[in-house]
Amino acid sequence: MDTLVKEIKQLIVGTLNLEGLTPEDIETDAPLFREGLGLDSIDALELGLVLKNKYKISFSSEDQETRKHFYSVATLAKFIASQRNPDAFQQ
Amino acid sequence: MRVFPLKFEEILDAPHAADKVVSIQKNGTKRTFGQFKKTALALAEILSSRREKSFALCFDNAALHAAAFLAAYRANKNVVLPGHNRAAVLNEQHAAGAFDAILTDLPLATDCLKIHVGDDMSGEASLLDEKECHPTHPLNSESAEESNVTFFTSGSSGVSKKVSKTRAQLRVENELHAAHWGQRLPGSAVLGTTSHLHLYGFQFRVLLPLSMGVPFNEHLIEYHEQLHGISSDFCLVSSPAFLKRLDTTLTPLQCRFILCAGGVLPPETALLAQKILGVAPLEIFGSTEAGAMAWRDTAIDREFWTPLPGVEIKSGDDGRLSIRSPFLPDSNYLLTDDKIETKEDGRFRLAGRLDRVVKIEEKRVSLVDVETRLRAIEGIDDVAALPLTVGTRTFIAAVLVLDKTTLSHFRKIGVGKFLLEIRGHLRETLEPVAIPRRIRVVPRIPESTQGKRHAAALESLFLPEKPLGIERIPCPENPSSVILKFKLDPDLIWFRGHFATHPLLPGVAQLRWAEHFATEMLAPDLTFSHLVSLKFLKPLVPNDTVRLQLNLDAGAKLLEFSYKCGEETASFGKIRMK
Repeated sequence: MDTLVKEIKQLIVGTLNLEGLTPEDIETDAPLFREGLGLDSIDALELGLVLKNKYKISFSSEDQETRKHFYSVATLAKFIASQRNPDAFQQ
Repeated sequence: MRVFPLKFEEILDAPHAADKVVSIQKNGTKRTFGQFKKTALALAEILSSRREKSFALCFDNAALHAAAFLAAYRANKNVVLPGHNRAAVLNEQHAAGAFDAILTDLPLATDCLKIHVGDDMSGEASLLDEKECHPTHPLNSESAEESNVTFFTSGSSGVSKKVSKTRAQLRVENELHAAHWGQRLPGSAVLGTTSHLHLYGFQFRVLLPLSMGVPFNEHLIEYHEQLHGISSDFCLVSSPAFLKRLDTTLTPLQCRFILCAGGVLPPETALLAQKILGVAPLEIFGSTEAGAMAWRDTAIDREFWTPLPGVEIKSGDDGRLSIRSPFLPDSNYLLTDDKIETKEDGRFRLAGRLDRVVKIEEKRVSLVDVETRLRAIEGIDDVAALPLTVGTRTFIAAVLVLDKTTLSHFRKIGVGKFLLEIRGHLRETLEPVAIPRRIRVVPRIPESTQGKRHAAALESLFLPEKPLGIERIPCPENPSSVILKFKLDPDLIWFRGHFATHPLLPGVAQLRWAEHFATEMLAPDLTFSHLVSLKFLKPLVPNDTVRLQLNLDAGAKLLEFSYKCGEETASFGKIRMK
């Protein structure tokens, strides 16, 4: 899980063009949108595409659910882990 | 008998069945005409009894927004669309007399009178804010003349620009859209990826479906997968920001009709949308001030715009577009800030903007506004904001002059954390896309001899100085050596003007990089002392893939470096460190 969290932070830094931002500057549990990093709706779309491409995951058409997954790095990591290995997650 | 399109004043009295669907909620629940009408009429009654003349619409839900608009219409009140739901800015606008009260479905922390329009589906409008209105400015007196609708949009002065339209103007424009595109809607639901808080979304997502008797979605479509959850036929009111980011791996859909506005759709995006959503988008070119001006069907033409019927265009000596149209308050030509190139047959091509308003993902961003908001932050003495394009994305960057205390704070915490602090400050007052993503701190803002901001000099501050995408080749047998492989990006600042027609990587860049990477990777405590020897054998040019080898003799504080391109050595030398 720690590796996944690190990877996601690296992807955020690599995708979103925020000056001098390092993976260490991103708090795992802090909100990604509005507060925290203050990302915008375009960031959400771009990050979504990158995550889908890298982890071969799929997002629900239900936006409430997707919004929850995009809350923080921690929630994204949990979601990606559950999609990659559904059995392990259920235990 | 003519029923559709309905005029605005006919919508609430339309001969629809009470269970006709007006709009669809997020969870799929349908709002009926009976419920919609009840909400609107109850609110109209409240508004009629109020002294206030102008009401701002700040809704999350597009159907409640529509009900509030029609209620104000019926009560002959002025409607204001601030274009956002940010409490801090609403307070500023209220204090400046932009409106008397707010109609909303959100828990906004504003200090003026708010009438909460509930979403309990009972159709009851509830007065949430009991605090009586103590106006900070005299209320606009009731007038017999037809009330108007006011939009706010980013203006070049930095203050948001007020655009008032009479109801007649909006009505005429809606009739034209209904006549041209309205016939494509019946039998489908209208979905939108653009907000109803601005003119384009309001007209096409809300007013057009209402006047055609076609249901619309109350909530915004924010990402591609949401379209896969729609079971009915649909039309999409969209923008390039959304269409550019469609996911090519999802199953193609069959959308009935796509409208696109807000910015120019790149030809490849038009083709992509056609492939993935099943229909080529129809683009509308317009502005809040002028309304819709021209259109093009991307199935036929992805380059030239055709003026809408009744719209006359002309371009001045500087290419500046002026228009005269039935959607304007009078028959004078309106000067826009867009530049165009015209063709003999009356079609035209867009050729940029003339003011300091830039479009970031279709949102108009005033650079002056961004600068004003930045300057208001304590510790920032001077500032210049500019648009910057990296790859396919354009965003706002800022050049800052800091006072002493803030400068040392900046040096201590580093650029990444400092940027997050700045972004935190701006969140209250700027749209997310207007908040700077890159910053440079300088002693003074570069200016030309005329005292004007030097655009090229500002932009060049953001050109990369060091190569990106560096691959480190391991050399485990020798811990005092590193080998780095990278490609010379043509955007590197060093290629600018060195030389104009034959760019070469200058020796000074090669020395700096050798020193920089040696300090970063081999000897964090050492810095450059003097150059011992240097030999150039072959020029390095843009797009060369280069191997930089560094060997450090820590005892002698001597750094040896060499740059290779393929098997050929381009340069080598020795630097004494201290």
